Amino acid sequence: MRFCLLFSLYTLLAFLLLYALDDLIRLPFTRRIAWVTHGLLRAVGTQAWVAGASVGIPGFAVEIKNNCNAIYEIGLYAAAVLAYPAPLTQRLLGTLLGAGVIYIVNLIRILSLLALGRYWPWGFQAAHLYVWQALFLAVVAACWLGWVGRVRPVA
Amino acid sequence: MRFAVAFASLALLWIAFAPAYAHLFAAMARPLIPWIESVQSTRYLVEGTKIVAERPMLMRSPDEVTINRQPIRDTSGDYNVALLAALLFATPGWPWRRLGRTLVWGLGLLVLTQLLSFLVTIEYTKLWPTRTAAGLVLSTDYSRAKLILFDWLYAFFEFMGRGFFALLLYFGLLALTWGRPDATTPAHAVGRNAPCPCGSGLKAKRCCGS
Repeated sequence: MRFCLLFSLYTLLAFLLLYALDDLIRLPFTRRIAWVTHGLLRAVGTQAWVAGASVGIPGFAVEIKNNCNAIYEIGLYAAAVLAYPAPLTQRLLGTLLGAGVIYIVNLIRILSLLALGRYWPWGFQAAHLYVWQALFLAVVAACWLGWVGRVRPVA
Repeated sequence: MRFAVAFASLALLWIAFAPAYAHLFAAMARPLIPWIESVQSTRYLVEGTKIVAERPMLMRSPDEVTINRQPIRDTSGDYNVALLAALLFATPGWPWRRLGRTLVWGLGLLVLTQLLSFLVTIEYTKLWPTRTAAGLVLSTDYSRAKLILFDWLYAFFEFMGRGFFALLLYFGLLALTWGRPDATTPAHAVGRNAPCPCGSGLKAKRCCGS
């Protein structure tokens, strides 16, 4: 019960913090994702451009919005990890590692959506709104379960 | 894999069930609406998967009435239920009885959050200034502070409604279930000084093993 109360409280705090500091945290974070995506595309030899939070390849471009920057997902994951009764170092390590995994999966999501929009535009909407949305939350759940499985003595 | 199969099946089922859920949801919310809806003669209609509020607005004379239609909820994209159910179905090692009990609790709480979100949306949409031919029309109980408060509340429920309530409940239900000692685990399986398997962070002898 203590976990549930703390988790709810931390989730609320994470939302308040991210929503209140939208310009300070979310916008630069989203632009950084666009730049990293652009860098990855260039690294594999793809022609790409970036402007603000938009990233594009010849024939297709996406604008990374609030729902696609994974920042709230990271906030929720961090709330779940920090609320769990485990030593502080393990919680901090779990938060950092999980946030890294979620960030990388989000990059894969953006890259896959770019490719989908370019080569299979008919499947873009369904993949964007339903498949990746659910899959992403499943990744957050898997990260937390994976971490809990390590810190919890008996599974 | 189990999650993917369960979610895909439940999401497909949801497409068929969404209109019925819109009616069910409207019926559940109907007794709560008078508490929050201050505009008299407002009608709530279910159109397919959408619940729409029709608010009458008096213009210059009592005979001149404009109907303002505002969508309040669309159950077609409401895949939280499918997501929570799929996550619970995919949880390994749970007997059917425990799964059923957790499913009932989880879905019940999820519907409760949806009702709360519905009421917040009603209040928030009521506060929206409406553009008409005569100019901007404000609700009689409008205040700037109230609009800001409901702007935040609406944003919170919108953000949590994107599957986050389902995750919050899933993690909470898992932690609560793990908190209970498993009857099939022998008491001597965990050392007295080892951390308690319920995850409390205490030694077993000071927690479930005492």
